[in-house]
Amino acid sequence: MIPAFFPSELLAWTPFIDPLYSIYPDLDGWWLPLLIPVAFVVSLVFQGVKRPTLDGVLPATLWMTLKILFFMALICAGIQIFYVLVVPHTTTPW
Amino acid sequence: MATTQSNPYDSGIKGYIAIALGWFIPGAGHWLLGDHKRGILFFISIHALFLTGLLMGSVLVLNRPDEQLWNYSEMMAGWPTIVGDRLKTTLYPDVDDIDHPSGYSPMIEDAATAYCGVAGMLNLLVLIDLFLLVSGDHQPQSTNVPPKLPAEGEK
Repeated sequence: MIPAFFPSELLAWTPFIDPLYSIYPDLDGWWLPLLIPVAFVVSLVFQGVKRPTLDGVLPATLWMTLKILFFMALICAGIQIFYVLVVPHTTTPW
Repeated sequence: MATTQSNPYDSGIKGYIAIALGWFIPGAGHWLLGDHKRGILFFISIHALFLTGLLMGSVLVLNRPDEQLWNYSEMMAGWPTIVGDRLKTTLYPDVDDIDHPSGYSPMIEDAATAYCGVAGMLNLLVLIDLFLLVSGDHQPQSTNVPPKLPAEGEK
């Protein structure tokens, strides 16, 4: 039996030619988790360039990925606090 | 007399061929110069990121008329961009007339564009590393042997 996450439209889907959202509509809510693979690959390539040997590159990559995600969250929290607490007092009504 | 330290990556014209090859096939430059592990690492990671972007957003995310900066960075990813852009111009000759499918997700399209663009920027980072290795300005620490100091009274 075909599982529910395997829609019949997948049969007509051509990878790299048709966008993924043509078979899985309204994927916009998934943009945030998509940051994790980017942070991981950026860390991996950076550590690969930086380190003299590739020994221990994976733990260093994971640690750097966590740091990137943590500081992104920190910046987001800072912007949110600024937006909620400061901006209402600085903007004038139209 | 100070000994001249030979750069293991300084292979003349081969080094510059490696840079060109490294642009066309991410990771191939390091492979050509004998750093196979690093070459495989860069090959897999950059291709995986780029192809994931293409899988999410299809070739439509390449060479977007409204995203010039991403287009430049995508060009650094080499052959995937060239092949993908060729596919796009063949399959979607008139981009402006594309009707988006019903489940159109603009943020996923932007994320896919960013995936491909970041892959290109990472390949640029790899190329800079390759250039520094070939030009002798930078060497991995494992091969960094400090030069001998001149002996007493030796000029």
